[in-house]
Amino acid sequence: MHFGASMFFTDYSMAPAAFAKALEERGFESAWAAEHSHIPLSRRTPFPGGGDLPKAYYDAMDPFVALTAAAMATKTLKVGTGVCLVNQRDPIQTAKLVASIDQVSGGRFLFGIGNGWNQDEMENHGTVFRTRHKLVRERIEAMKAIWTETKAEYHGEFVNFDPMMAWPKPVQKPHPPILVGGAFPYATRRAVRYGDGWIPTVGRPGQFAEVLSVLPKFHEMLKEAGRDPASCPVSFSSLPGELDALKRCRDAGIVRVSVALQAATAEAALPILDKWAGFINQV
Amino acid sequence: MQFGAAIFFTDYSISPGDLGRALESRGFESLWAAEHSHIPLSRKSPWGGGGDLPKQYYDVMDPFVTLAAAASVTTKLLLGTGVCLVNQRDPIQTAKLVASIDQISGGRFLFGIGNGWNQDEMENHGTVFATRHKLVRERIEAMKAIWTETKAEYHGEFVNFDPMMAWPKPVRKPHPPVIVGGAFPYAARRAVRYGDGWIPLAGRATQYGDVFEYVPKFRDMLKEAGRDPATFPISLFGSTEDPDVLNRYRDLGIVRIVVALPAAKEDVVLPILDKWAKLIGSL
Repeated sequence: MHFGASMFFTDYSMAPAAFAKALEERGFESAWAAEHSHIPLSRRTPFPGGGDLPKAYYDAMDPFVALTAAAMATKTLKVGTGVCLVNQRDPIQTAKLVASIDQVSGGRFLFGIGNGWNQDEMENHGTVFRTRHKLVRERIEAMKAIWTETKAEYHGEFVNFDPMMAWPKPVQKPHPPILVGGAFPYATRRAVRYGDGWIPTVGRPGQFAEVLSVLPKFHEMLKEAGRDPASCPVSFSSLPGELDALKRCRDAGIVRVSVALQAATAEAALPILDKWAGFINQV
Repeated sequence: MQFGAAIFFTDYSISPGDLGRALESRGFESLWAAEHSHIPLSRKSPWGGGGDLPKQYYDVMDPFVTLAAAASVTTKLLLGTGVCLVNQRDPIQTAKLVASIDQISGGRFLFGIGNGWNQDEMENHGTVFATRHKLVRERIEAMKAIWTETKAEYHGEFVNFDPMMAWPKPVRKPHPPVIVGGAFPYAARRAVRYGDGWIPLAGRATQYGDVFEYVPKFRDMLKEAGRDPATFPISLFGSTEDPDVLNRYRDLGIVRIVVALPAAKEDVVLPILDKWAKLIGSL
């Protein structure tokens, strides 16, 4: 089982390079960067975390820039978006960003994606809330075409382009893994349809056991779709730091667990990473 | 007069980190990364360079990723987009990219922008060719609002958003210089209206005119608009190696010469840099 750590990189958090070095030194597998392009003052859809939106959501740097800095400071650490809000991004530009960071990092990029919850935020990017899931699917399909085909084209309801050429292709073949974030059963269905992994959030009390209990159903969904469950491994994000919980994850076949550090300073983050480094040796 | 170097970073060129280091150690001031998100197979509008589009246009990596990589291994080198095609980019996402790379680099980012020529390419990003210049102006104005205001809003014909919050703000205040690329007189007018600098192309005199003729005319435009020519920097892209002409550029008050490098490996690029370093030392 791999260990990761996620961060909202801000101008008051630990810097991406220092964070990445700290992770690599401690035996972590991956660094994850959250994203929000901006936060509108109006809020038609509530924050699923409940309560006020944490300050870090307003202040997160672009994940591709932050993760490039993290990749440049390390050799083996993987770098992932956790998660990239594809419904707010142009698919041709995003395909290029993904291929570029995969090149610069030597094939260490993990493309975590999610469909978001903030209607006002996505509307400022021209996205209609109601059809965002189909939009994201088309964008992912279009990006796969760009990453893998010499003359890519895509003709969907929302994404439409005639044959075109774009290089470099990603280092990882056919492309960096697409790890679909979100809850059972909706995000799970999307992971089955176009993902190379599933990232449920398990940070809320009780959520951890709940998600472990639906894993057999997830594997069943994959098999029904003609997929080998091994082709779509599960990563747990925002996991509580408890040895017993981590051992249960390992025993359940979870491929990766990660700790969420929000926008922590080095002073706050390093003791937590040290504690988790202890778990790495025990699990 | 400072010297920079421009390149299309590809998977067969020198890497951003290696070129960044090579430039900094030779006394170059800046590194400029070109961009094209993709190249459609159809071509409604001809390339200004004439003939077939060079291979590197199809193959160039995202400039924010490559420049973030170069920033990670240098300390003084300035990093510029040369140029960023703003008409193909979401302004909220681009404002975040610019602020993020300015943060990662400690305030070393130069925001070179251009309005492009490839109608098919921009149409795949939803942009109408006929109104692209006004679109870019609104996007730049919107980005300035995002970079400088606590609660930014913008209401234009093409860009429209209600109050929102986005951090981090750039390190440079009020924001990284917006350096407008393109020929006299149209791009020059845009530079006068919303730019902090102008990048004419020196390399194609028959097409774009003579530097020694249009620079005085440009300065008249600045004065007419109430701007001070003495504090408005002009960077020349694509230069001659003739020391006499370079000295005349210096005497004309050009602040920066940017040398175009081939998208090639170290064995080709480093001797070119060495030759220029010697030439720069002799001026």
